[in-house]
Amino acid sequence: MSQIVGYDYDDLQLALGAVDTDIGANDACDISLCMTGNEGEICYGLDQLYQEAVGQGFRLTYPKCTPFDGFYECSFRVARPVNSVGANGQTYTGNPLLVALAPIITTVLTGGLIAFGVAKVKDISNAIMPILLTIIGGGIIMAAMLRPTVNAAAQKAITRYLPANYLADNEFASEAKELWRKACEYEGIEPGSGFVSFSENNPYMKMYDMAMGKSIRMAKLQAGQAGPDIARMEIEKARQKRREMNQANIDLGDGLNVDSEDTAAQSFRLFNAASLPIRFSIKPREITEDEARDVASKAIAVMFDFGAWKGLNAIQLEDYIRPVIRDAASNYGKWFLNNDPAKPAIGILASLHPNGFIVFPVFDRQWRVNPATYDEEHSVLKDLELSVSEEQEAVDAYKARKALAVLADDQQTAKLYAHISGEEQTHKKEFEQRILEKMSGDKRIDYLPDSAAYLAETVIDSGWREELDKTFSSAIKRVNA
Amino acid sequence: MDGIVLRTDPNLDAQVRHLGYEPVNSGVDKTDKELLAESQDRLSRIIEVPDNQLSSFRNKHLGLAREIARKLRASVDIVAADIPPASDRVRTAAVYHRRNRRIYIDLNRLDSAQYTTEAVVHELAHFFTDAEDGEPVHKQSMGDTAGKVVSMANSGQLDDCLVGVRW
Repeated sequence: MSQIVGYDYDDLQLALGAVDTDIGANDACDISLCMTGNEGEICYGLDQLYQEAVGQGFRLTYPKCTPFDGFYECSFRVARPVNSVGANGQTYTGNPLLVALAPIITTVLTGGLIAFGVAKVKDISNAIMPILLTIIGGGIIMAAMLRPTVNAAAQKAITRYLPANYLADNEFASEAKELWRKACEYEGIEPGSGFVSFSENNPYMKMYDMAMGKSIRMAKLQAGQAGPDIARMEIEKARQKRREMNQANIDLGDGLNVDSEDTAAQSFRLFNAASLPIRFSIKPREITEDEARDVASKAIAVMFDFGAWKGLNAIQLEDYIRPVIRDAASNYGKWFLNNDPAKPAIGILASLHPNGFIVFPVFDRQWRVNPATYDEEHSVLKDLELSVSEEQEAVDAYKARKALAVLADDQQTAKLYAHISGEEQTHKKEFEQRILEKMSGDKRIDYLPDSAAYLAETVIDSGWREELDKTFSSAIKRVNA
Repeated sequence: MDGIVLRTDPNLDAQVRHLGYEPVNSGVDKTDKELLAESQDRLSRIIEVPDNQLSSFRNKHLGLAREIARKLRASVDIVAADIPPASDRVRTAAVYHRRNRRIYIDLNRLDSAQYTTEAVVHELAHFFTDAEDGEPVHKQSMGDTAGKVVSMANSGQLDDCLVGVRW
């Protein structure tokens, strides 16, 4: 596959970086991107990319943009022509033999034919047509020889940016492997084991978690891979909502920062979406394995997003996630582990991989993965990665919400634990009260009920409505087919 | 000031918010009780609309709502109605009348099966719990009811009611 598949403008730049580094003269690479936004925004993004790419000496085909599921898939080919000049002034001359041979072959063929024509018919006028055809044919041969092609160089550019390859040289991954070895040594167990239970006083345990967390984070930063559909769709919804809320904010003038609040709300909506099938599961034994895998992968993807947005390290994320997993496991864990409630989280995690083995070090400190087999498992993890653009967006959102950090934090805590305890309403009240206290005396208090209602209702109420929508849309389609 | 009423009873906060208002402790004359009384007065002007005056789509959607209630064994009448807004800040999609055990669904909500289903889930949660809007038990019941409805739809139990509906 000679193709870089990315997601949004940041991935375009990542792709260009790869191409710039690894693609020489006469090489080409196909790039396919999943872009979001309206047509104007996409044109603007592509325009930026094209200007940048041309500035780096690339030649690009006109993009084909196909709408699907609220996105645009934009595909084009980036090529490095012979004798182009790169961004740093370097000249790409290509293979000198190929460059030299092309005109030589053309000249020899043409000259030879002219000589043949003159020798054979004695009259050059009778050979004009063959000569013209030969010149044209020679030109085509030369152009074909010098035409940039998608080849191994493009493949190299791609594989260089895959997480698994990155991890192989990742210092954090190496550190994690070393810490894993030491931790196993401390316990007196074989480092080649798959699942391992460490004792709480193992001095390498936390260090290993940190190193592994960093490793994954770094891989995500480098991967530039799209997340799974559910996360991608949810993120798109969040962006759309943010656009709407930004507009509302503009309409209101200065004042309440709706944008940052919306981001906070959205993060929990992601949780809600992920956990919804769990809440709607009727009985554990009615769930198929595929459904369980689907739910678990969605949940994990959403948690990744949450962790990135919060800027949490692995251990901190674990503290947030643990109750959610416990809740989910009350249904799925039993199903997977023959009603053994002692290891529910593993039931969820094991469902992610056909061999019952999953790489994810943040959920339960008692269960870890052997980094020696990390790469083997990475195809599973890779599908769950969020793109660089999401990561950056999450970080930006995190910074942006500083102004209302207290409120946002309250909401995070409230929703997260409310989801587990079923005390949504209590927490919602508390949250709304905090908003009112915080904003009392503000001239825009008349906006607050809507804002508070939006924050709380979107998070808490949207879940079952979405599930109804999804189910009935599909049922109606089936019945009326 | 718009959107604010004086809090006289914290227990009414959820209902006040449901009407699009925010209860505060001072600075405004109109009380939460006055707001709720005003709301009751508005809702007393509900006008029922007989089935034979409904469009084909509205009839189908109403039929779906009734089937959902029947399958959930909710002994409640469901009728179409012209419902006035419960306050000047919100529109009212549907109302559950406790005394006569009747759910009124606004004509506009009957234009779409989605709106109708959401409305009936919300009102059935009132029927099952006898709780007010915003109370945790009502919210919990909405989730549970929706879960059962989803299960029914998934297993094809509502298929007969879904022919030709507009989601």
